[in-house]
Amino acid sequence: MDCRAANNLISAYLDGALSIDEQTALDEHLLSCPHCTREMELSKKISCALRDIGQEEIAAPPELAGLVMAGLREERRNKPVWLPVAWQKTVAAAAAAALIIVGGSTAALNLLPKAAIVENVPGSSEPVATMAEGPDNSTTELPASSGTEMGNTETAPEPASNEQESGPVTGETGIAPPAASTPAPDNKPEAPANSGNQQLAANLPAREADPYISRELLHYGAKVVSSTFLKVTAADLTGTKAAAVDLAAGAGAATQVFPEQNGDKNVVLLRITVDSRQASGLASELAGLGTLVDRRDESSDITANYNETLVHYRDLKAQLSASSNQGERLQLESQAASYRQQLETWDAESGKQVITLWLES
Amino acid sequence: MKEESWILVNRAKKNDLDAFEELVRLHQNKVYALCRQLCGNSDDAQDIAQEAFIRAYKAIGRFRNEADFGTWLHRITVNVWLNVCRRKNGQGVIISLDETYQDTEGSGGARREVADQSADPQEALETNELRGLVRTALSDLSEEHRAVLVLREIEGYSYEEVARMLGCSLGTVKSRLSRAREAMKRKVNELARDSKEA
Repeated sequence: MDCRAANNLISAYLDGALSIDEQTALDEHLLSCPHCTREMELSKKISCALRDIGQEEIAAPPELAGLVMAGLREERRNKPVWLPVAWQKTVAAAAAAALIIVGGSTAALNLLPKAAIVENVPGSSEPVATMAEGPDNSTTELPASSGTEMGNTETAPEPASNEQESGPVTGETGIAPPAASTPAPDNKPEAPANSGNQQLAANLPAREADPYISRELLHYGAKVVSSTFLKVTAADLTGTKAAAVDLAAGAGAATQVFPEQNGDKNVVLLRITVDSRQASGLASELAGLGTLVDRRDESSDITANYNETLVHYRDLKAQLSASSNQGERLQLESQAASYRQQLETWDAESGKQVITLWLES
Repeated sequence: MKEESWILVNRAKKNDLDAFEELVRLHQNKVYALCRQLCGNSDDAQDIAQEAFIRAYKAIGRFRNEADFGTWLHRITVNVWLNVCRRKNGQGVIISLDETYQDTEGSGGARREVADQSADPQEALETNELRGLVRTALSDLSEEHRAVLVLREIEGYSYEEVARMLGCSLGTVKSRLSRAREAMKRKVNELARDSKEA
């Protein structure tokens, strides 16, 4: 055995993966080769050093758990959290977001609070809804679409999916119907949001055969969403926002507007759904409205999210038909409605690209 | 799996957020530590850890109770990290046939003679000193090399598990590990030499 061959065996040796013959040959070589012996010793020491590094206690930052749970709980309370994780950290948890339902059926539009304005913007093929500027906004909270997409590339299958025996999520562990979860704090009877809920309760049973009950779960790769995140600063927030809405309308896009608070800055989030062909042109125009601080282009396979939402929705509907408790029914209705909205939004967005514009003063 | 984790996981599967929060607290150090080792800096590590937990919650319905929850979390963590790398690098993590010559290591690329004896970091090197060199060298390695070394040597996962986490074959893991160790050794030698000259 020569030095080169011996060197090639070092890695396997460190992992205890040498055959008896290889081990014997290596031992013999080392006996008569001080150089390779030194190489081996160094390799062993480096390996030990790495293992020692692994033994060191590394503590997670104290805010990590809080951030994770805040994100999940916000989703549960149906706020839109489809921002890149790094941006989410800076959005105040107390922000009140009002969902504007765009496009889709007119039945959905009936769910808007009175404070929202739905208008047909000339030149746009879809109605654009914006929040009326005014004090009403801060207290109005609708069950928003539970935007679960973090906007991260998920083109590789989840490692956990290797553990699945069958494709659809339900085939495996059978997701149990959600236990009566802690009611969201704003679901009190006197809260304004509840009037929206009661409206939902009235609307839902009146709907025809629910396509989401009978629809089959999607195959992997069926739903891919391309998104662009733009962070732009501009001095005149109102004017810039209006300009952005105009640009979007000009491209035939649908726009959702969310006022937010980020510390002492005002932030406006616009979620623009546009035909894929117009997307890059529109994105460039929007970026030019102010100073572009950050841009991320991503595409995500949301099939798993879609299926999961579908399953949750069906569970809720099943629970609904089994429940006779008024309070519980109202809560289930509201949750089901938010899941359904998310499904409808995803369906409406097929073949389209979502541009999220974060405008900051 | 530990009994307490098993109970918490079952509750989390039924959308019990409090149970999931408890799981986060139980496993956050382990998840964060892996992120820290892979990323090399605390900001990225925190973002990836956060994303990993959120994905874990959404995927928990697919988790089989016989498996180890911590390992499952690590699989998700590596997946998130790989996605971040792919985004950063455009098409994908660059895979070269012979990384020995890769300039990405930052060392200039030319393969050093096996017989180079001018700096022997073993001589009179305290364990701490070597550990410091190894730490620095690790952060200087390419992402691919760092990943296999972190998963195999630092986290102690088997070849099979490493292959599964990285989405590559067993053979690739073995050869990548071998090259990673060589690259690490070269780096350490270089750093030792530089510190002597300093």
